[in-house]
Parts: sequence; structure tokens; C-alpha cells
Amino acid sequence: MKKLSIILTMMVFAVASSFGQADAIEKYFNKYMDDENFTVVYVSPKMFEYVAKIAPEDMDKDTRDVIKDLKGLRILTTEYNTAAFYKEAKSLINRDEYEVLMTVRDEGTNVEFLVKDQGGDIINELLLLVGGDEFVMMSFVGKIDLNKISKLANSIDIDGMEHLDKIKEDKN
Amino acid sequence: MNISKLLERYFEGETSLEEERSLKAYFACDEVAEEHQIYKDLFSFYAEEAQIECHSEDSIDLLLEKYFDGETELSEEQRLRDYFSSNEVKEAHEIYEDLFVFFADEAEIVYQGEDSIDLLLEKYFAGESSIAEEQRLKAYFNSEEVLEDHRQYSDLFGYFSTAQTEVLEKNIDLSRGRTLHIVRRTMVGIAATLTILLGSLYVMNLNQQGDLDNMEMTAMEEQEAEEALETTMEALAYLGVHFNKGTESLEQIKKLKKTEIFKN
Repeated sequence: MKKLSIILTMMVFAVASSFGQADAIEKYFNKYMDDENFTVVYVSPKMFEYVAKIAPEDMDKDTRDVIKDLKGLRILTTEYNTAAFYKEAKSLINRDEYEVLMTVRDEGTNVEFLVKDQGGDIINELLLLVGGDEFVMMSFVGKIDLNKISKLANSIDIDGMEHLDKIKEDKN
Repeated sequence: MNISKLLERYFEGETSLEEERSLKAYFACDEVAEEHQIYKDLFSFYAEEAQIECHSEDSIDLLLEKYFDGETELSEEQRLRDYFSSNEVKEAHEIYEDLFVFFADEAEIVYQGEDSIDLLLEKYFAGESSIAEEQRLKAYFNSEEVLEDHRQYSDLFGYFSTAQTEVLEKNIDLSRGRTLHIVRRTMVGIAATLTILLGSLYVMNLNQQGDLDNMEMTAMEEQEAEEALETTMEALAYLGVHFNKGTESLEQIKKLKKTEIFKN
């Protein structure tokens, strides 16, 4: 009986750990999920299965590919105490796990790109931290091709695109 | 009683207490035969110790008197019976011999009348029979003289006597049984664990299959997916903008360098 209970306990732990692989970032997201000051978005892997299915055929191919490979998306934004949250988020990131891809400071806005499991241009998780007028934390999980990311801004129509294209025009 | 014989048995250590008492009584009297004189001291010592009174064979008359007066003790009656069943009965006493021989025979007789079986059965089924009585019932039913009326019970009592003789011939090895028990318990434990494990795996597998099979979406799910797609696109655009903002700076530096190179 003792043996049996030990085996059962081990099984429970194994199942629990496989289901609850909450790393520091996930915990951080969970911590502020119910905070009214935050805007929280979570798209589950299951939802991405649906998203990939309904993605329109006439969509830009690169965008389509990126979305198809995504397995999870978490967004956390707030306009309060942005500096403090930015600092807290940065301190929570395990530097052994995440590698800084790029840091940009532009007109009082800090932007940090962090990646996990980097292999060439394909990465498994991309973490975006933005601190300034607003605090933004975004976590993209899935196969992410950085070359395609850089093209995304051109194909998706949002604010700042004109600015971007202008630069390109300048470049050309 | 033959004193010489008694003495012989006495020295062999075979005499009963009763016999020893009669020996002591004999030696306590004055009329001891000459050949027995040598033992007199020995027995008179005992007699003094036990304060035994003279009690010779002649007292049979006295005992008989007491007997017919109803004053004899059991041991005295026994002596009378012994006396009459021996071959040394005096002529004067022969008239009583038949009487005491009858007693002796009667004492050995066990009443086994047919009628009592009915009574015993009644007592038996009422649960009031003694073990001796049950023994008698068994003996009766095992004999071949069972009455027609009692035949119906003969199977029952016959079973008891055969069941009594049953013996377990197999040797039970207790230690082996214990090991088997432990092994079986362990096996049950392992089996239970495997069942739970396989069961949970099966259920998890079922859920995953369900995911793939249930891709038929409801309208609400489709709307949610639509929203999710929109959000994802926005997020990606936001990411793209910031990503390009970073790379743009690099490009500018590169451009700067290029112009420098051209200048050179």
C-alpha cells in the first residue's frame, strides 16, 4: 500500500508539473490578469487552431504563415506606473532562459526584444517589453521567423505605418 | 482377602489405596498369621501414624449388620461387594451372595431400552442432551438395530460419525501462504496503478483526438476566433513597428557608414 501511494503521488506530481509549466513570465501575466488597471489579452493554443482555420485565403502570405505557426499570445498593457512595471518585468526575466535580441531607446520609450531557444532566424518565444507612456508586455509563443516579422508592419494597416514607409522611401 | 497375595502386590507397588488400607487394618489386629509377623512392625508403624483401627475379615458380619441397618458407607459397601464376588465367601454368608452379585451385575448395566431413544431424540433436538447422551444416540444409530421410526435420523447421526473421522491430509504451509498473500497484494497494487495510468492516458488521448475531430466550430467560437485573429494581427503589427524601429536605426547607421565610404 505504501508503495502504491508513493507511485500515485509521483503520478500526480508528474501530471501537475506537465500541465502547470508556469515560468516567471506566465506567473507575471497571471498576477495581473485580474488587475483592472491592466488590459489583458490571452489567446490560447486552441484558439490559434481556430484562428488558423478562419484566416482568409486572400491574406498576406507572410502574415498568414506567422499566424499559422503561433501557439500562444499574451498581452499585458497599462498606463499606470509604467516605469515601475517595466522594471519589475525586467527583473523577473531569467537571463539564462531569455536572450536579449534588441534594445531600443527612443524619445523616452524603452523597447526590449527578448527571445528564447534561438536557432537561426526561427525562435520559440519572443518577448516584447515596452516602457514609456505605456507599459506593454507581449509574449509570442510558437515558431517565429524574424524575417517575416520585419515585413509584417508593411502588410498590416495600422498607425505608424506611414512613418515606416516614409523611412523606406527615404532609404530608396 | 488373601493377605499373602496382597502383600506381594503391595511390595510390587500394585496395590490400590483400598487394599493398602485393608492390609494396614489386618496388621493393626492381634491375629496376625505367623508368616506375616515380620511385616507387622512396618504396618503397625503406619497404623500408629494413621491411627487405623483393627478391621479384619471377620467384620463382614458387622458390615452386613450395618448394611441392613442402612448405616454402611460407600467404601464399606464396596468391600462387601468385593467380598461376595470373590470365591472366598463363607458358608454363613452365602445366603446374601445372590443379593450382592445382583448389585454388581446391575451396576454394570446401562439402561438401553428402545423407548429412551425417542426421549433422547426429543432432548437432542431441544438442545438439552448431554454429551454422553449424544454419544449413546450415535452408538444407537450406528448399530444395525435402528427402528423403522428412527430411520429418518440415521443419516444425520451417521454423518456426524463419519465427519468425526475426517482428517485433513494436506499439510498447510503457513509461511508459503503468507508469501503468496503478499505477492498477490503487490500484484493488485501494480495492476491498480497500471489501470489508473492507462486509463488517464486513454482519457487524455481521447481529449486530444476530440480537439482534432471537433474542428467544426460553433458560431460563437468562430466569432471569438475572428476577434483573436484581429488582436493577433494588431499585436503582430505593433511588434513589427517596434521591430522595424529598432532595425531602422541600424539601417540609418549603415546608411551613414555607406555615405562615408562613398565620400572616401
